[in-house]
Amino acid sequence: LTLSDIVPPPEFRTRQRTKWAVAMDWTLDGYMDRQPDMENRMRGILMDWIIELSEEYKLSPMTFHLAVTLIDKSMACTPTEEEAEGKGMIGHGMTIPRDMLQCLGCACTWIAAKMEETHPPSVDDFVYISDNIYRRGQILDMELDVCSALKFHLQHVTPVHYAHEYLLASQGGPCRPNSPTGPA
Amino acid sequence: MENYRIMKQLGQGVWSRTYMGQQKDTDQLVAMKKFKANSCDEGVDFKALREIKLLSYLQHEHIIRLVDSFATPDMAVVLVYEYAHTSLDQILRNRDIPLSSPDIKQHIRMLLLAMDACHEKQILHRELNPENMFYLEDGTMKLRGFDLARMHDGKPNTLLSPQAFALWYKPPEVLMRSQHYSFSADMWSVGCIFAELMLRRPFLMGQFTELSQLDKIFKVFGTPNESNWPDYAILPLAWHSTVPVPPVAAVSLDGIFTAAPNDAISLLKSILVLDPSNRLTASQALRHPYFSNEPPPTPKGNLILSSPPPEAN
Repeated sequence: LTLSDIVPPPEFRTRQRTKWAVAMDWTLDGYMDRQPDMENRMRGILMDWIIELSEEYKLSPMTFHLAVTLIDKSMACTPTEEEAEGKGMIGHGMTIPRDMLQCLGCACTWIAAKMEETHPPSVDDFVYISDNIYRRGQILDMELDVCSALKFHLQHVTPVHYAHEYLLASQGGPCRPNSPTGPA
Repeated sequence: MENYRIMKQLGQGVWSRTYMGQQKDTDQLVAMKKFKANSCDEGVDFKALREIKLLSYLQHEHIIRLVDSFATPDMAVVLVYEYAHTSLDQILRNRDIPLSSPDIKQHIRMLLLAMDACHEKQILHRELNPENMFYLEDGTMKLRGFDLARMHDGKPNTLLSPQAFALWYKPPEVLMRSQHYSFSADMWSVGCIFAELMLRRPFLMGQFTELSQLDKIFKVFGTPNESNWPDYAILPLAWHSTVPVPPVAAVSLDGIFTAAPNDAISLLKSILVLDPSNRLTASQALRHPYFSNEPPPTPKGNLILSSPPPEAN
């Protein structure tokens, strides 16, 4: 597997695809501005918690990094209010209220785990680890919201892919014997 | 959903239903697979997520293209593929379609190209059979059915489930409950399909049970022993079996495939080998003289895919 393998699916010439292209164009640069209820330091707190969660459920680095990417992308693909009105994009992306940030973390980690792990945690595992602040239904809804906001564009290049490529290029071995560095 | 018009149901699987549809904007025909949303405790179906993941890795001329995916209001995931008009299964069953030996060469070549692409990206398909080989109008074969496919790093200690493969295409090591099979398992299925193309009926037709399938295999290839399959004795079924199997010698494939040219039989013999470590890989098979010898494969545009009307379906 090389980096060039992980490219977005080919553009299919329809208006729908074009809409997707626009939706996926959002840069991660300063995306916090798009989330009126969010502050930079909250992302840090969330990520620390996801690291804990990954250790608890023994998730692979691949899963963790994909989860982080999905969290960032779903917050970044949201137009600001002016953009939404100006470009007719009301209803695109997702605005995350402060108290739903951890729920977003659960949903994104869950999606990543389903894609990468042999035995992904269940929704009840996420309800438990987040101390029962969310009901199952909320996590399930959030999961679907993320998939829809990202238009099911869920496969992304993460730092793990780069780490793996660099290690190969420097003629080192894989990261660690027991650390799955993704599909390669 | 609002971007598509559903035209008719094409099929129904355990987890999903397939429909023929049309994109409203472009009038393009598509196949739509809707995953059942009954088990809502599992959220978005992980089989759908994995299929999206694998198909986005695998972009290849001979692998079905995922065009779109979305969720319906009732929480079901729909994957949208390019529309294929027929499958190898339908071609084989339609006696009005002739299959010449250059045709067979093209069919098996396209399958091997698809397989080579999968294996190069370290993806095991695990459900190769004629029903998963689809054809576009221009004769291009597109491999589908990645429901059971998975990434495999090729490390021998990776555990894999023996609950994969359709019975008639199931390799002997999987029938023997091996959990360490690899890309060579797909190649067994390729060999079975190659044989089926030449015979025009499934080659090894076991009756419902895995034991009967093994019996069919052993009757043709002989019972496994130290010389034809050295690792045989450590497979779970051989290890636990207390019933002695009377040894049977292998039958010559030349006697079964009387109409097939020698180079085709030579290729078949190097793919259908009991010992998985001695089977050709997809890329080795593509370099076999069979593909460079006369006659050349039929250009895919000239393949006959359906009988003349009115039998359009």
